[in-house]
Amino acid sequence: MGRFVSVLVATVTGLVVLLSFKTAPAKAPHPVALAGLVPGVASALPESSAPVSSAAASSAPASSAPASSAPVSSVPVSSAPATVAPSTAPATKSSVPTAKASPTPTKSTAKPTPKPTVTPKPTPKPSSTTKTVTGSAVTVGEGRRVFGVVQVRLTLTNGKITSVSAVQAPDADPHSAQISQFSIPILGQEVLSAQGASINAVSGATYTSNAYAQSVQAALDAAKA
Amino acid sequence: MTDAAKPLVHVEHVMGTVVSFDVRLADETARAPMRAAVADAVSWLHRVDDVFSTYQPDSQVSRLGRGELRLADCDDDVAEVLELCAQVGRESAGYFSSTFGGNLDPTGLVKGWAIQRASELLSSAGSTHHLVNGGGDIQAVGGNAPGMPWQIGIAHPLQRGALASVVQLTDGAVATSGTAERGTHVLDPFTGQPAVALASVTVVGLDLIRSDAYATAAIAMGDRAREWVEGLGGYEGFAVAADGRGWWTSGYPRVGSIPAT
Repeated sequence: MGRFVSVLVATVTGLVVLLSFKTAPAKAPHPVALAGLVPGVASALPESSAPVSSAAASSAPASSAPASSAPVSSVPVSSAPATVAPSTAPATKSSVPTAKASPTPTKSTAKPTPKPTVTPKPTPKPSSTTKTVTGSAVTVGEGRRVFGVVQVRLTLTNGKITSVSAVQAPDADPHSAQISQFSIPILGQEVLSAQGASINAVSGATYTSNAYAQSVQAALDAAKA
Repeated sequence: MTDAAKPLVHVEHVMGTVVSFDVRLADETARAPMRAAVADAVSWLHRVDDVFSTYQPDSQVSRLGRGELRLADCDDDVAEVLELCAQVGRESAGYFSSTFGGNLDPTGLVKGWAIQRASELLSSAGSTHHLVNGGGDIQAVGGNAPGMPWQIGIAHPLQRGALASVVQLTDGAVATSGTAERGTHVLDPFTGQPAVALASVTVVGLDLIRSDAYATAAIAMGDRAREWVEGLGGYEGFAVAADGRGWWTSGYPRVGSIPAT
């Protein structure tokens, strides 16, 4: 993957983060401290993001119950199209797609019962306005090698980002096409929204000063400063 | 944080990386004293760099490594860090090492230690809500407001700019190590070969010193890391293997998000 691609992805993500800062001020207070992340999130979110939250909530106890064996995400390479953020479906409403890009959930945290600890009220907002914004296409490449064109589409519901998807993604380079097929999915903005979260900081393998300039952390710092 | 003051944000290039401070203020009257506290913390980080840098040939650690300086002649901090290195080395069955390529290099511990100390300096100065991020290793205090945990994204190691998980943390540390940090590979100290099984390991705990060092040790361990991290009391882990598959400790879902499927 070229540096240029990385820059672009970082920029896109940074933009998304910036937008999320502007449009989604963390309003729901999180009653939880260190423990109880997922249930706390679910209960703190009165909005329509119940599907993801409750799915996660129900899988959390399942995975922590057999305290000896940590679950392995064994989602195999799936047929996800090459996307920057693999929120596949052109999500036009604010409800959140639960399983992304993985038609074959092999094992991992089997959902026990669809009865989560938190009220799974889907409560679709009666008067929600959904708006879709499509960014301009950007050519991605490194040096003279051109990998392809990336174009990102944001869906905003009531001014809050509910979906990020790639309209076009680079496929000229097989390596870049593969990247979204990795098993640990990349969190789409809908997941971030489900957390009620504006990200405050990003933890990652040590970046150099130069890499910082292209990092999400830089975008966050710029947004806060 | 109702009408609150904007956060005090400071970004400092130091120790070969960038350290971001995010200090939440109860009101504007706190800004001046907190600005002074951040300045003190920044001075401290530069002093750490001068003492510990392996890139500066005249740093104490470089001279100590060449035998030009005795440990007793170094700052007390050097002995403290080397002792911590030895402790973590034992705790990780030797996978954490304060030598690199045969040379004294406590770098793997110094950054986490320095960031944790910087955070403690802010706390001593009265800060109750702040986060210090040193090149991706984070010490967080008090949430971003009363009752509001910090939201910390975990970078996806296989796609720069994307996130693989989100950790919610009021007080504690998040450290992520990767296969290739700053261009140099983490070596398996027993084989001398680069450890390549895991693309990144994130460790969440109360203190950054051990969270960071454990994350580095886990990278060196590779396939053996999962069992080891699971057995660490008080620390949780989330890893992405080189092939993109992931694992996490049984307690990780209490602090961080896991893939929906």
